[in-house]
Amino acid sequence: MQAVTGKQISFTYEYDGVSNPVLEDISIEIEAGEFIAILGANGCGKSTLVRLLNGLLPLEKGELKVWNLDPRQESRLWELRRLCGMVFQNPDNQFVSSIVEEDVAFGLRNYDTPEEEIPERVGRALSLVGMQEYERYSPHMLSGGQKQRVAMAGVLAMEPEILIFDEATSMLDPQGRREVLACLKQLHEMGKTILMITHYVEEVLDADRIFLMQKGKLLKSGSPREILTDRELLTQAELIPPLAVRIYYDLKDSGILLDRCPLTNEELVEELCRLK
Amino acid sequence: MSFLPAGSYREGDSILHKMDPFCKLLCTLLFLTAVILSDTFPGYLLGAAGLLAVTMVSRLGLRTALSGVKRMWLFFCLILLMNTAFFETEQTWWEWWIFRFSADGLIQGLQVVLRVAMAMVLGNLLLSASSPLELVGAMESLMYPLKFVGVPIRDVAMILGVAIQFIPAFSEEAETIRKAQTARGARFESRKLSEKAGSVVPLVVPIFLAAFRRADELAMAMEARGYRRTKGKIRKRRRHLSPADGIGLLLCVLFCAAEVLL
Repeated sequence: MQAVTGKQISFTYEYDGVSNPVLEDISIEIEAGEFIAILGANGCGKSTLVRLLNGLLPLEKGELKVWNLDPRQESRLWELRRLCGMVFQNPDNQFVSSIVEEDVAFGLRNYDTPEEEIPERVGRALSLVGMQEYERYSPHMLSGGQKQRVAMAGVLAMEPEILIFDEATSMLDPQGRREVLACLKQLHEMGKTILMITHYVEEVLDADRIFLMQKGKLLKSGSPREILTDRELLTQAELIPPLAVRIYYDLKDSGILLDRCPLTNEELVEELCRLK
Repeated sequence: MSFLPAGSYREGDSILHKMDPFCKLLCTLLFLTAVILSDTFPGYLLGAAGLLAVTMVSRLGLRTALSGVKRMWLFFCLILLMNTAFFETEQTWWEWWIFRFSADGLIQGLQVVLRVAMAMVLGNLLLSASSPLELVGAMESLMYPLKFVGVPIRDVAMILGVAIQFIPAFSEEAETIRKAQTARGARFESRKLSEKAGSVVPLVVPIFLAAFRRADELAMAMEARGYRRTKGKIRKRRRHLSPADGIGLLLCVLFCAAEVLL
């Protein structure tokens, strides 16, 4: 099943009578259960693209279907938002309540979920992100990674099919980032469709496919190996390749050729060990 | 991990925590009205005793109840000074230019300070013993009659609830900005009033900007989680009033009547 189908999507921000095109002719297809990473430098239109998916921004030009729903169809917008959950960058600015369980239940109450179902669904969502012990805590008392996992539980409680992470790791320390990425991987293994926006190349190694964006355009889509080992392509997108790829090209420039371009540090070690 | 700022909800299972939020809000408003209407020192003493009793019942501790009051010392001093120097009375201690220092003014100032401090303690106790969304629900119920004159009570209750919840976040943010500005040479510790007033600007501007950014991001996150102005409920279904709620409300009414009569 197709989770997302988009054809020739364009979007322009108007400010003070000046038009600023942010997305130009973007066409994408995402299968249900895929883990897609949307990679690009700041201001390349990644967030705008995903905000069109759940109707937070109005679709101006092009065709878009998300789980067979059209974001232009006002009457089904709320159904679309339940199916397409979104976790934002700053966990502190997503909390509606200062108690974890109340905050996680916020989305459920918005959808008139029977009150007797709520505790079970809140508990299940918190367990999924490993935060079940913190349900009576105040988010202020949690670390960055824990806060973001609570924000994820708030979205998971609504049982969405597609999960969008809009730079959800960018404000976290390495430990918090690891925690969130582990949760994300686990959700993907459970069959959820994941869309992850980031500008950190190291975070997208586990993705099924990468959409590489640059200045409002889809530069290329492909597997992490295809995209991340292409130094010229990443440079064009104003991104820095992963460490292993950088070392591979540095060695190549110095006349030392490895059998293949490694993507991870482990692969790099393997390749270096094969050198005679 | 960080400490909970003043006005944050603190988990507990005291009678005050378990009380119906609507009853709790109603009692707080009654108590507040009684404190404002009271203008004798026996009345204030009774008010203070009442607050002490509520603090003990809440099991939140005096430190939580008084949190934030200490920080207001400058405001309290200003109120005392203004009242002492400008109160209209025949019997003055000393007059100079437009200033008329008097004992009546000092007493009036003390009364205002006491009222404000008691209102703050009351607010602290209410916020510390009620979860934010419960409070939003209670406010919505309390404002229900206004619905018939076209007031969007759901929106107003949500705005008030979010604003209350963001008070601790803003105090944290203000502290961060203060430290950042101090690192860039701003002087907040100056004893001169003119310098102190001037130093507020580099604090207020970033706080306002941060508030707008926060509001924008929160609105988007709420919308993404299905918040609508017309549908859905924003808090737990209200519990039925328990006998304890009724007793609490009755005690509060009796206390307030005594306070006003004194």
